[in-house]
Amino acid sequence: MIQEVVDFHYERMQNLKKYYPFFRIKEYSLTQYKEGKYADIDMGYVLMAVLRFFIEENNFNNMEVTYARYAAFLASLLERDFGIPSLSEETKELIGYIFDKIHNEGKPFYMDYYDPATRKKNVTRVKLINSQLEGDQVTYTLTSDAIEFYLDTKEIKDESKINIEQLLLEKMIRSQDFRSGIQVVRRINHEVNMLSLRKNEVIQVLSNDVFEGMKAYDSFVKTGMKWFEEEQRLFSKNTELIRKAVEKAELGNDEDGKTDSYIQSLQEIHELEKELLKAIGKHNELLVDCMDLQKKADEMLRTAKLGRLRASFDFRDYESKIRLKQDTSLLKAMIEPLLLPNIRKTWNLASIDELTTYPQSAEEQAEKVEEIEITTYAYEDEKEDERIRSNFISIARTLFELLIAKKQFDLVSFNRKLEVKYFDEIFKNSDYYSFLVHLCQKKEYRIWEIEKEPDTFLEGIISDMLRSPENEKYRKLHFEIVMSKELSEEMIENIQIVSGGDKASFFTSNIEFVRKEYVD
Amino acid sequence: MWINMDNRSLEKAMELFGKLIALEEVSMRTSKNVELYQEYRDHAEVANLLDTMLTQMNLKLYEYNETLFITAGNQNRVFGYTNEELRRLIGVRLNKELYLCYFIIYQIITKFYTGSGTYTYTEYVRIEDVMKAVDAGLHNVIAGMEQFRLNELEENSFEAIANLWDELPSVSNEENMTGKASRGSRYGYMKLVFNFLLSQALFLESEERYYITDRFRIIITRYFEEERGRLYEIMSKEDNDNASY
Repeated sequence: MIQEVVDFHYERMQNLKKYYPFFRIKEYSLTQYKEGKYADIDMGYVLMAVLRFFIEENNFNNMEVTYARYAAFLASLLERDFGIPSLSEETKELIGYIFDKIHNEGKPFYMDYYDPATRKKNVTRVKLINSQLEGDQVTYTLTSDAIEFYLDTKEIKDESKINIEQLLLEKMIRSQDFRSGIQVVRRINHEVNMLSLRKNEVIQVLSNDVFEGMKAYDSFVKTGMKWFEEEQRLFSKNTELIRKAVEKAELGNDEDGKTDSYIQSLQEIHELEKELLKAIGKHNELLVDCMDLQKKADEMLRTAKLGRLRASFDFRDYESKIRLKQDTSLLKAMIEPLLLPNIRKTWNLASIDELTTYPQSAEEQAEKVEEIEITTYAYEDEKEDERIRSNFISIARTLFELLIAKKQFDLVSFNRKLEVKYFDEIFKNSDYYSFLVHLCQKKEYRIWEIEKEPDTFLEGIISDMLRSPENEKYRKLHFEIVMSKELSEEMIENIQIVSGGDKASFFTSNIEFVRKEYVD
Repeated sequence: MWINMDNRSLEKAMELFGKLIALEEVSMRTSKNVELYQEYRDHAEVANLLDTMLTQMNLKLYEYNETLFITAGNQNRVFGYTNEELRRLIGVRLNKELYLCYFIIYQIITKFYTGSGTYTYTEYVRIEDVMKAVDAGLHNVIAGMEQFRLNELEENSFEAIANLWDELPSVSNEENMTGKASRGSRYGYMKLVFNFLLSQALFLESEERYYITDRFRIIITRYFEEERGRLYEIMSKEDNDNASY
């Protein structure tokens, strides 16, 4: 393990160095300047903006940047993001100061580190901006480290990453840095793979929801497919550059013979060429796939548009409704129609069991069907009438029996008699009270007269009752009902609680029954 | 119509009916019962007679890629399946296990078709893809099951099948990924269902890739489109009468 740490430390530091200037510039640049007056300006942000500006101008617009163009860009940025007036002298001074920091006054940034392989402290260098003299003016371009650093931080969405990498590659081939060029081509390869994955994702979305998929497809066209032509052009440009590099290498080494460095650089160029050809191959495949995607997307859109007009069954919607109902057995509706018609009939095992254990009689016996004729139908109110009638007859008979036995008695005695006969349940029966109410409608009763001409509801019942021979004896009864107007003390004493309930429930009142006549 | 019909047409229609009901293939493409297929295609009377017979039997006929297919549709008391028959055919024991199989089949359907008119352009599925889809389909149910009593779960609830799924290992100990169909693991359930679909002529298998058949396609696109009203009716009817025949 430690060997790996030692062996790869140099490589790691080389990869890391491109990030170094960013942190240096961000950390120290403006804290000391004008006593920290501009310390609020985030130099990290400013640096990223400047790098993006350089990429735009250098690589996309093919223009070199002059100081004046840089100053104009930064002035507008400082004004917009930090509210610093762009026209003041102090701002111009600030812009110059920032440029010096990023440019590091023309010097590289030095990063020292310990190299465990050589056991020495080493220094590595990295520059962000190069300057050249063009005619009578100085122009600036980004170094490949600066471009790499910028690209590493984030993909540029609205530009082709492949193009930027290719520009970087071009720079590297021109500066004969073939080894780094191979790395760049590998990154291009990776990028082509990523595009291929994105293409698959678009198909996935398209297949789930065409209209959502079309959005993804459009975005893929804008950010990916639109650059294909340009990418192809740059690929051929770089292939041409490599070809020239090979030629140049061969020419340059003709006189001196084949030195080691010649062989090595030639190997590197070939490797680079191989990688680039691989990338071009993959890129071509992607192109063909995307042409296919275009056709598929058109077809899907057409089908979906037609499908919109045609009502269709939505499986997902159906399932979501089943979820609401919380009944998975309903899923059968989606599965059943797919199945082959069931032509093999099976017996339920339980039925077979029943079949074998079913007791069989010697001969089949027919079930007798009796016809029942519905003759009468008693309604609820008729049932009630019958109950009242029967209860009234029972109470009346008790009263008449008591009148035959005693000449005079009061309601209390009558109640006692009833209680003996029917227990105190009688006092919970509403028919008892309605009997008394009906009875007290008349003061005097001549039973034989009732039979001839019943006047009241109660008399009607009594008259029916008399038709029965066992009630014959009551026919000759004549009695009076006397109701005291006042409650005498004696009577109050006689007032008693019936039914054993609580005192407030009810009291018996002052009714006296007096027999007038009875001829046996 | 029956009085004036041509005897030969009736004979052919009966013959066709006999083949279809015996689940024989009638197809130009696979050269099975080709003459009968031609009879159906070229003689309107034969086609009409066959349609009448099938309609009377509550069966539906579809023609796709020069092949005839029949389906018993939903709730067909004669040619449909009872839960017990399906359990036996798939190889499960309990109703909730059967319902889990329904759910797996539903996931398979939506891998290919989200609606009767929306083909997803998926060429084939693998068992692993469907396993993931079932996982995703039951994920929320399982996540929502913080507190529950096992014996209180209705056998037809989503919780019951989610719980059943959740309790299963992906593969059982003794099987590797080419394992056998069983109720002992998720993979085993997949195999049960995939084998069932193969036996129902809905799948074709090649190198562990499962392709849907023409039968699958035509029933999804035609039957469900034509019968969608009735399918929603079945769902609302089940509210009142939950008994399965």
